[in-house]
Amino acid sequence: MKTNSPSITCQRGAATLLTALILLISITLVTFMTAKTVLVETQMSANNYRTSQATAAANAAMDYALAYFGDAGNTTFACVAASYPPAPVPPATVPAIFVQDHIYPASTASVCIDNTTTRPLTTPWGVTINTPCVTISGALTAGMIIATGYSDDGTAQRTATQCVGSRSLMAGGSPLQSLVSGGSVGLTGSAQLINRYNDTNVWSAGAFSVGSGAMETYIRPVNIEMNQLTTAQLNSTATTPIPNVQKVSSKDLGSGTDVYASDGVLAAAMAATVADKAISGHAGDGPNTFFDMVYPGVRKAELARSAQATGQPPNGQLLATGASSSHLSGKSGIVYVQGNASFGGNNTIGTAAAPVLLFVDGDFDLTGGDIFGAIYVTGKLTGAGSPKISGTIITEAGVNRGAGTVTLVYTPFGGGSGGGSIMPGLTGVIAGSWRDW
Amino acid sequence: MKKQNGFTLIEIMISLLIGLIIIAATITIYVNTIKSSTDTIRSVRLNHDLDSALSLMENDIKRAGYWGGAIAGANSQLNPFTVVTTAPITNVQIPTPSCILYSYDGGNGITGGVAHDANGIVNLDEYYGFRLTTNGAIEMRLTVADTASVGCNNGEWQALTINDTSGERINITRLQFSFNPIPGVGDLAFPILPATSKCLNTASLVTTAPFNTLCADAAVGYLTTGQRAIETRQVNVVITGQLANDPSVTKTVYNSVKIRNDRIFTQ
Repeated sequence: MKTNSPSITCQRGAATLLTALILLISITLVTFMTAKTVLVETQMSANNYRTSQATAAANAAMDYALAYFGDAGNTTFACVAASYPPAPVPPATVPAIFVQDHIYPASTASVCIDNTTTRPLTTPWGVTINTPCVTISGALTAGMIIATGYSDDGTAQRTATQCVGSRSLMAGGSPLQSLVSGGSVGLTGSAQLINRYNDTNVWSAGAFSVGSGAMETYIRPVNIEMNQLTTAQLNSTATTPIPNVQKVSSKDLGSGTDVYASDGVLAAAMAATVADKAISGHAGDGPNTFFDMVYPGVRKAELARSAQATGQPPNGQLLATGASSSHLSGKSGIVYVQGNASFGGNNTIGTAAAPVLLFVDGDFDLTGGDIFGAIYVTGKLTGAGSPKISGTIITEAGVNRGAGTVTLVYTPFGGGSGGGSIMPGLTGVIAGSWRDW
Repeated sequence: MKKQNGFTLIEIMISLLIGLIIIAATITIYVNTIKSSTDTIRSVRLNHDLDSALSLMENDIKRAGYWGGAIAGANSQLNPFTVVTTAPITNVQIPTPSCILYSYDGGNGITGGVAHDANGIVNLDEYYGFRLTTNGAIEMRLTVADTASVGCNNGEWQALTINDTSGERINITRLQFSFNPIPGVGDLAFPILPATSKCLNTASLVTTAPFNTLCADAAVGYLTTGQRAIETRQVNVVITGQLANDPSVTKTVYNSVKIRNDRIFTQ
């Protein structure tokens, strides 16, 4: 008996099978295509994310470099490439000063502060950044921050650059005298005023009186040229004996040629100051005032803002009235006191490398300590004791010092003393210089 | 006669029924797959187009104000890319909410053998901008013909989004720029965008807070003639788009951009 055993010829339903197969294959293809689109989109998102990571790292590195530059930018560092592959193009040559590299945070960004006139830096997309930030290579107070950030896996890289600079408050030149006064000057103690850079020590709008004390002023001997002395010799504060000077004024010699007293120019500036203060909202710092003569184009409030921007927030080195040695000691850069201040004891403000610009918007009582830098007092300078000042004193209302020995050695601000180094509070980005291409 | 071997009527009916059920099920799955796949692809494309447009805008707007002459010792008040008082205005501006204009020293062209990039002057191909056209496309400005006409309707613009008659076309229904916060529109589209531009009078009292607007909008008396000010600009951007052939597929993207180069000027 013949049975219906399975065989090819007996198969039925092939059309159904074929149709179902074709449909299934179509579905599979469509699914794959969709999956591919989604995968590509995922990859794009991942790339966007990596770019964001790299950009954020570069921004963080930029912020770090800005803070570094504004705080202690005169440290010497070598500029080396970051450790993360792919390494950024390392600078070909670097000056020995004021260039630093820091990897921040570890392995995700590198920073270089560069002060050469041109810095060829090829970006990943093949563009060469060659914008100079400084016109003279090796300038100590300006440079270009090159911040390169990487994504966590190192595949994405973004570079941003920005010029940074330092504002010079002495745009019109530092005073040439060790003591500039808008009022009268009375030194009754044994003050010693020394100026080895220029031939004047005192410049005042009012009268200059030596009194009966042992006050003496000195300048560099006429037969020694300035370039025969080293900076250390020019700035020397040694007193017994005082090296490389000749005495010009004293109780017995009287006021010598290094004293310009009762000067009409300063008197006119002081008159302008009084007139400016009389205007509502003005602080005696308008055009042609005493302050404007010393710091051309600057306003007192701007100085205060600069001081506020330094040190610990919220007020940095902006101090309230009544600031004393404990508040002032150890500071450098811009220090602004909104009122009277006093300083003395065995304390120091500023250093030779990082001088202070102490602005006292009131009276200043000086009884001791060491000060490196310029002191500007809108009121009167009083005191006693034996302070040593390397720099210059500027006072609007004059000087009235009693007993004691003050040693004032003139050092030009922004020249010999802290010559062109960074002062906290005076640094900043140069607006308009940020670029990332 | 040879014996006929065949299926019975019952067998055929059952096999046809089973076949039909299989085909019907398969077709249903197929149609659903195609539909969801189409939706996915459309959504992905819309997302991608809007994200790309936003990303491009962010990256370019934040460069506004770059000046090749901004080096140590330069006076940033002289930055020719932040001019607001005399024509042509080069400073970043938002003449209408859907149009932003700005410039920076990044032109690709060459004049007299000197490349425009970072050459310190405002070349014609450095007047950039983004705008929304009436037919729903985002356009970017490539160049202007002359400095006398640099408004939103001047110059050569190129579309960023697909704006042809194909099925891939997307309609941008909203493009909004603002220097001030943009209120959110509920949980459907976007939250409040709080980024705020600031005006800081450097000569004012230390305790005075910066004004939370552009300097032009600051209170009367905040800035007086001769005072210096720093203006930091933040731009909020919102884009809403939909597919031209399926308006139900819609998407809103948004972000805030901080312009890196601040404007410094004397009032």
